[in-house]
Amino acid sequence: MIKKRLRLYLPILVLLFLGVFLLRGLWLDPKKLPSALIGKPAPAVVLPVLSFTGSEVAAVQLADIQTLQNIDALKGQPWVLNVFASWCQACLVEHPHFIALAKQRKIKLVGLAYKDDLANTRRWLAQYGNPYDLILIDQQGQYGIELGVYGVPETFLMSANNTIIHKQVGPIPADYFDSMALPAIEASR
Amino acid sequence: MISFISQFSLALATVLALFGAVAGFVAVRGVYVHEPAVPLLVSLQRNVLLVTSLVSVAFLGLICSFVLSDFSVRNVAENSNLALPVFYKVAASWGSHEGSFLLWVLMFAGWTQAVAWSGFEVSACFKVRVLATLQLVLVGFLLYLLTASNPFEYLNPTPVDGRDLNPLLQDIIMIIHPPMLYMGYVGFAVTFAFAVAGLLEGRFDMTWARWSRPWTNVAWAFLTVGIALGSWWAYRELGWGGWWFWDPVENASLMPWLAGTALIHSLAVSEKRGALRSWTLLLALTTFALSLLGTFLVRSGVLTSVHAFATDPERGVFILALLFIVVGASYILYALKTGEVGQGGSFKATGRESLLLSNNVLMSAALVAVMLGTLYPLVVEVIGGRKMSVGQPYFEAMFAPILLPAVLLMALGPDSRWRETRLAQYIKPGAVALGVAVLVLLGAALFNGHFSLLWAVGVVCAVFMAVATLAHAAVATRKAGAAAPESGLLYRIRRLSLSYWGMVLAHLGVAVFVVGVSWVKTFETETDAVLKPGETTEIGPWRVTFIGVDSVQRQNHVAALGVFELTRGDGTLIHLLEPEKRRYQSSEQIMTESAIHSDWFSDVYVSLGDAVQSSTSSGAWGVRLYYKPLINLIWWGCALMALGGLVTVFDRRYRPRKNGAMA
Amino acid sequence: MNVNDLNQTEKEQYKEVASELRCLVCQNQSLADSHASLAVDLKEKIAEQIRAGKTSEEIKSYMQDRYGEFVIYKPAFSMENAVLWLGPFVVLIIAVVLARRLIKSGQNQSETRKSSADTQPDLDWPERLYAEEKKKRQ
Repeated sequence: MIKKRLRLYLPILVLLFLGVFLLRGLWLDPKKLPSALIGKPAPAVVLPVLSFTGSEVAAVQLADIQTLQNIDALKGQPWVLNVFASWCQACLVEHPHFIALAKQRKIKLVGLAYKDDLANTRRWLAQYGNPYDLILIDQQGQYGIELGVYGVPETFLMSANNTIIHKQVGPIPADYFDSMALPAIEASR
Repeated sequence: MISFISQFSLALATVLALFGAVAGFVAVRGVYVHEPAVPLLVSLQRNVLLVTSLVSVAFLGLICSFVLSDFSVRNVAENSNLALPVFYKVAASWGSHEGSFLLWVLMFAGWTQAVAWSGFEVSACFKVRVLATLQLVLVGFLLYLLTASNPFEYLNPTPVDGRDLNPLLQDIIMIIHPPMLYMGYVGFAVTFAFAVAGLLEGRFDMTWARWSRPWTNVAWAFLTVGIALGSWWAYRELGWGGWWFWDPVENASLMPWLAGTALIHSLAVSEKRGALRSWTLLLALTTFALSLLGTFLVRSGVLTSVHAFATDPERGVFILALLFIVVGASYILYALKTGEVGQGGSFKATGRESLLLSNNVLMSAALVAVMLGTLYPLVVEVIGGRKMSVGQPYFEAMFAPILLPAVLLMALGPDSRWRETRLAQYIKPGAVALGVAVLVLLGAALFNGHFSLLWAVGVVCAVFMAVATLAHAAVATRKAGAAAPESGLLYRIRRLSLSYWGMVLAHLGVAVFVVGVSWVKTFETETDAVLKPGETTEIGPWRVTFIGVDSVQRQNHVAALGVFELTRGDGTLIHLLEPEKRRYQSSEQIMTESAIHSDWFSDVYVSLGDAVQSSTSSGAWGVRLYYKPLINLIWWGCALMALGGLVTVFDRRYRPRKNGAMA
Repeated sequence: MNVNDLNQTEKEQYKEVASELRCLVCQNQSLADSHASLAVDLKEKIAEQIRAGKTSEEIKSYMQDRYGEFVIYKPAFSMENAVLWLGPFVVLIIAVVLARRLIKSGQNQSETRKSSADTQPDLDWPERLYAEEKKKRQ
């Protein structure tokens, strides 16, 4: 008897069950991907460094870039890796926040010039300011693939021993350091 | 002015429909025999006519706004411009979210009107309830249209020129595809209304099942055409040679189709034997529920899809609420009233009822597979924040083991009898059909020099079913004239009911479809080449020579027109193929128009890639070529299926009789 | 590594892998079908790895390690996805069981009561037509 009752009410129950998910789904963003690398070490590679003196751009020859940087050598303190490009509109939105962060000298900022023309990168930095302690070059986007980058801007937070502990997809908010970076660093201790 | 009239018409239609529905439901309770209900029915029919006319006026108003390029209407400004050819201006009326929803509403009013005008013979009370249900649901759609999705929204300041109709939509197939789909989706509302009316009345006669059938079959036929057109368009226009992507929006249309197929077969059992009534009722409600779910999925942005309309959550909430209310109310009604429906006739496991029931079992499993595959990523994300993808590999793995047994069972269908069939009756026709199928398979394998298991199974099942069906038709035709041996073939064919011929056509359509799918998936070939003018490459049995690329300026776009010569083996057959790469001026969007050469069954497909920007190979272009053997069987199969569904509607028993009695 | 530099077998493997991976910046397309810049980069990576002798499984793992399971179109056969992979078959089994019960209960019923639908002998309709025709000509 009860079983028959239950069977009759099954359709409405399924509808309600489904409806909850559909309702919740309306406010999710299907395009945001969580990082698969949280808790994993930042891939250890050696990348060329862009020398930038803050002055106007001269044509850059690849031969000018002599310095190389080993990612491993950045261990010792937490640091932020910001993937940016001169052709990226949204990067302009977050750039002032990075300039502010750089002024406060709270954390080491490393920029990754992603799939960009070096002259354009320099021009962009000259125009909008350079917040980065170090600018790494990834012209083919290969390191980006290693990091699971699928768009710009993206910002990675690395712990003192180079574990990726946080990833921000899209521009960082103004209070990135206090609301995202610090809690993540605390949690990872 | 036009928009004001249109919006006023819609508002008036909403009020009238609401009035009609409420009055209908309330007044019909005071009535319980035929005659006194007739005046009520007549009033409701008039109400429906008024509402339909008003909605039509509104739709015409939208078309006029487009044709006159009235850019004070935001919809027109966003989807049309002065340079757009008139033909596309008209089509742009349903090219946007708001406009297409107005089309949906128009179709709904149209179907309601068809029900109001049709002379099917059930009690007047029943008809009143059916029409009242439809009007009530229409009110919901109209409210959504007027509040959250108004196509006549005013744009101030009025721009001098508009944007453009999405280039993807500037194509004849893409223009017909939505109306066909909506005819299908909305058509299932009629069966839904029949089911609701039946549940409300509490007492059931088999006429309910009988009269649901033609409406269901027509809706199903339209949906089949709509889905097939969408698939065909994607194949021709997207340039990748694919024709089905298991995209959430495609799945959204496939779900009501699967449920509708089950419904067609379940109704047959309910009509002939009075069995499965409770299940059929549930299925009737669910098929329309799936149509609504489909609309929701497409318009809400909940799932990532190539088809996404521009969306925002508020719109989605409204549609979801509509879905909840309409489907929820009907399911509650079902839970409360289905006990009164009663049992039907009994049947043995070998009878036709069991075969039809097995169709329902398999269709239900397929439906669950599609629904799971489509919604699982959403569920998983809501629960745990995990993001995953469910794509082609999943759906194909699920479908083959479900579809192929269905095809095999279809072979047994015509030979089965109601209530009970002695197994011996299946053996002789079965053996003959199987023999023919295996022979065909061997022949094809030898001819193609290639063999794959999936292909073999698909072909054998399909040919087996086709031969069994045709054989039965031949025998039945012969028997039909047995009492009058001098009668001609035409006479005998007409003796067999159109319901039967519809079934034969539709089932053959499935066989043709399965052969097409198996064949093209196994034997298709693809080549990427970089060609300089004058160079030749091969694809399948064809040789393709690149002649060159011209630049052509048209009304609203510039096209790079590639010219290719197509020759076959001995060099005698020559066709010219002209694929294009278009840049639309207003949107800067680039569209690839592939060139396809089709003979009756197979296609050669040429698509322009990108021009090679290099000093050493100037004038060279990247080209993609496909050879797709027997691919057109896929769409021929769908056409046959739809034709079959349509044919059944003209069956003698659905025509009104002179004395009002049922057959 | 350019795709066009692969040989025939490598191209086959390439096509297979590229069609099973999802383009992350598209609405719903495989890498094979997409021309987006990230898709092109990833496809070149795939070509590189194929030339380096990696198996399809290894390449898919590589992508999944970096982009998560979202990038794979075929859901994993894991406990978490059990509902997904087993669901349709469970439904099929339940439906078959219910159908059999329906048939059996129908058979039991016919022993106890006769429904109105059973009063007419139910000939298959070609026979029925024949019978009708015969009657007409008598």
